Amino acid sequence: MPGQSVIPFGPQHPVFPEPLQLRLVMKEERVLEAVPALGYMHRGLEKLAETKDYAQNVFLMERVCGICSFMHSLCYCQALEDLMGIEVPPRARYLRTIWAELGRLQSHHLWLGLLADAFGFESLFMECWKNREIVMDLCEATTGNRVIISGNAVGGCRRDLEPSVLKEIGRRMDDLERGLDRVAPVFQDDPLIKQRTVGTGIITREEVIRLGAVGPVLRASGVAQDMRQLGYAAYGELDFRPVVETGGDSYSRLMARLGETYQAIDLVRQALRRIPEGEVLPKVKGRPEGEAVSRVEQPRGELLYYVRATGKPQLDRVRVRTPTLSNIPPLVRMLEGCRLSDVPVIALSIDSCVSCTER
Amino acid sequence: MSEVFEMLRVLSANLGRGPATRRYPAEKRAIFPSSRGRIESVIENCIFCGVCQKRCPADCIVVNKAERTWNLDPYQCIVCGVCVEVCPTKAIAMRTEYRKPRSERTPLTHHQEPGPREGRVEG
Ligand code: SF4
Ligand code: SF4
Repeated sequence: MPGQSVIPFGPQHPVFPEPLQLRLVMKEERVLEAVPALGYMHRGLEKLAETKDYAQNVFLMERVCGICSFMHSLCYCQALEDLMGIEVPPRARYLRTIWAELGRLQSHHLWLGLLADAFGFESLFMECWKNREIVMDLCEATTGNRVIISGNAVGGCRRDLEPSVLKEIGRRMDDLERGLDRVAPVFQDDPLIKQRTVGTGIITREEVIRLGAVGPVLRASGVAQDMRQLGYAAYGELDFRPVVETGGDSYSRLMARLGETYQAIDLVRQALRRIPEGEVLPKVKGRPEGEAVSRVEQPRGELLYYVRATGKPQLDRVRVRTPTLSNIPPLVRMLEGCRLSDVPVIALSIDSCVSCTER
Repeated sequence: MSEVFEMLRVLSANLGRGPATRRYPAEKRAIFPSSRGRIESVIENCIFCGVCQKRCPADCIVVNKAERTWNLDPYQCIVCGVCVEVCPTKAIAMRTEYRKPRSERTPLTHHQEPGPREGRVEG
């Protein structure tokens, strides 16, 4: 068309930690249409999962994502526990909640830092990532690794935590909250951040529902839906209400994540207060047979696992649907009509995770 | 005006505090006692049952009963610790320090000399 041009945004772009391409059809400075191109990170993990036995797959599924890896193993284990009729001990459910929320804390801190970096706000970026180190250290101290923490096994948790370690987690949560208190007002009130986020990338409540958005993208447009409401792990026993914003713009998505970061600290504290005594890993007998679907709330939204087994140790099929895949249609909608200079921040505002989307 | 005071407060606090980062490599972070750094074979204890090979999710152990060898591809190992958990004779140990980088990718082969263990069994 005359007067139109196409700008490839990505796959290598400073705001994307991972390769995702958006082909932007431009009319002067305005985006008419954004066409996403996926597939740069495909690793064939679903196929590989069919060759290993169900217990080995826990470690494989953890590697689907390099940020929220714990949630992937959690979702996978829940599907198998459902198939095999395993009752997870209460203490293990609480430990899973603690690790899941630590995972959310580190993921949201990572994103807050990346957002600050996208504005060129380097000191804020460093401050966020400095706080994140508190969580990373906790992960390593409690499980032996920073990101791929391998805390889950089918049936429960692989490690139990000593009372002194649980106390230390609580103490570090105080440090983390103090650190977050220092950066939160900047995200909330800084005029430069507001200029770049308020009123950009707007998506309405009707549109997020129609396009199937999940996670903070959905909740920032006023829909109170969070998979933790299902009450998996220990969430059913904790005081939890989804963080909802109503603006539908990049600023609301930022506020939703900031709110969830505080909420995650609160959930860890609640879990630490209520964690019961007991075993964490019962003996697992039998082989999986049948079909199961499991859903958990990952930092980016709803994660879904479908597992089919035929009574062999190997599974017939493992299907992973990640939140970023669901959030790409809303992203395409958000980008329509925006200015080229706003594309980086809007694209970042869905907090895409490409490696898990393409598995 | 209040912004200026806030800036001065942050500035003076930062001047007194010292850097937030460590002066690596002169200053290293203490290793956590539960860190999963690398696994090591305690070959004297091995009975070559092959359980570790069967359960390893990364297929990086090869046990050969006839030749009494235990092989590990350390670059394929994801240090999950499953082999350490399942070994019936504690013939694999978890260490907190990471493996040092090497310039070629060769598997680590441990060979058990027949003798001491058999002697113990007979005695
Ligand atoms: S290391 Fe342990 S599990 Fe592996 S073959 Fe030897 S005794 Fe068996
Ligand atoms: S630590 Fe895990 S990956 Fe490494 S050899 Fe043992 S079982 Fe295999």
